[in-house]
Amino acid sequence: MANPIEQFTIRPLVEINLGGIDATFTNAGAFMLLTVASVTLFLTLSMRGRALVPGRWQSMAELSYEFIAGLLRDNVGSEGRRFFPFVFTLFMFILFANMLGLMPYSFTITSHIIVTFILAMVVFIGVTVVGLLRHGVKFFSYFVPSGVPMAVLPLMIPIEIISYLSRPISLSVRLFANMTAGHIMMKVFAGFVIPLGIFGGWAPLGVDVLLVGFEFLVAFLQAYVFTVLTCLYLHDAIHLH
Amino acid sequence: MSENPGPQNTNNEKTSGDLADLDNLGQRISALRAQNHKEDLKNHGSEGGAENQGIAQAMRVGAELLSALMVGVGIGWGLDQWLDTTPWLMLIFFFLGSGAGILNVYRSTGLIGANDGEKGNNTPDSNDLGK
Repeated sequence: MANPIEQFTIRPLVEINLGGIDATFTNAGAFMLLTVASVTLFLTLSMRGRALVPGRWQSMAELSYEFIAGLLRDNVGSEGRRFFPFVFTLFMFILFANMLGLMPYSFTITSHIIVTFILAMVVFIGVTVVGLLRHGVKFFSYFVPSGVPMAVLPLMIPIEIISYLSRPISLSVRLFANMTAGHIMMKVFAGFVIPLGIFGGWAPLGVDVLLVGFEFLVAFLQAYVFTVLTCLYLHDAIHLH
Repeated sequence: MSENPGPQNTNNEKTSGDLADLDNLGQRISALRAQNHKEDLKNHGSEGGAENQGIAQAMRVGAELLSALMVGVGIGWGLDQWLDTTPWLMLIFFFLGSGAGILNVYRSTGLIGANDGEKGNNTPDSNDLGK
């Protein structure tokens, strides 16, 4: 049976060494470039017509725009508008990375914790900087819950700080774990198809067909969850609570 | 009223007739959209599809609980290594981390708002997704 973890192997494509730093171009890097290229191509090509009554491609592009704009409006408010380019880029990158990973023979970059962790850290540090720039020292009052007796504060403040620090971990682990688990599951079931033969093999094949559909849902939902949480964190940083 | 698409426009130039049609269409679309939006708000808070939000929320909860625990134990372990107090700080931060994890879960299910306070002011949507 094929090794279900083998699909996550990182293979060097072009060896690059920058003064002792290993900057080798790998299949992960290639798929990141492919993700960026396909998002760019999707948006520019589908909007090229700029028709008043959109065709299929144009309405897909407009739908994704309005989806994220609505998300920002609902969760952050009107101050969130200026963060639209970042949030939209984040959503499209994760969505396309997840979707491209579902194509046969491709590589899922979001199944590597370091990739999702860096994405989460960009959000975490960015949001903290936004909060600090906007509120200065007052930002730290975020860690002091209101309406709590003084006696409990020494307990609540560390808990609030741990809760705040756990954001990048939960963001990155959620995306990584969902993508990795889903791909391993598909591979395990696919590995049973041939060994079980012409009579028994249909059952795991059927499960795999269902799993592929489910994984498309997960790919979208995880991009959505990541984006919604980014919006909520932005809301917290802008409004403090 | 009925003279609008009438003879004056058609023999003059097509564009003005088209423009009037478009204006008309635009008005109808925006009226319908406003109506739709109201109904959506009535039904489930906002336009984001209630089922999707339910599944999205379910996927959040496990990771929220675990990550706070991981951060708590990590901080405790690090401080222990630094201050040479093994294993006391790790034990204390284990419990603080569990507390933070439960707080995260409560928040993500919207049972309490972020830092409480303005619980009542939250829109139904932001309450759904927790804060």
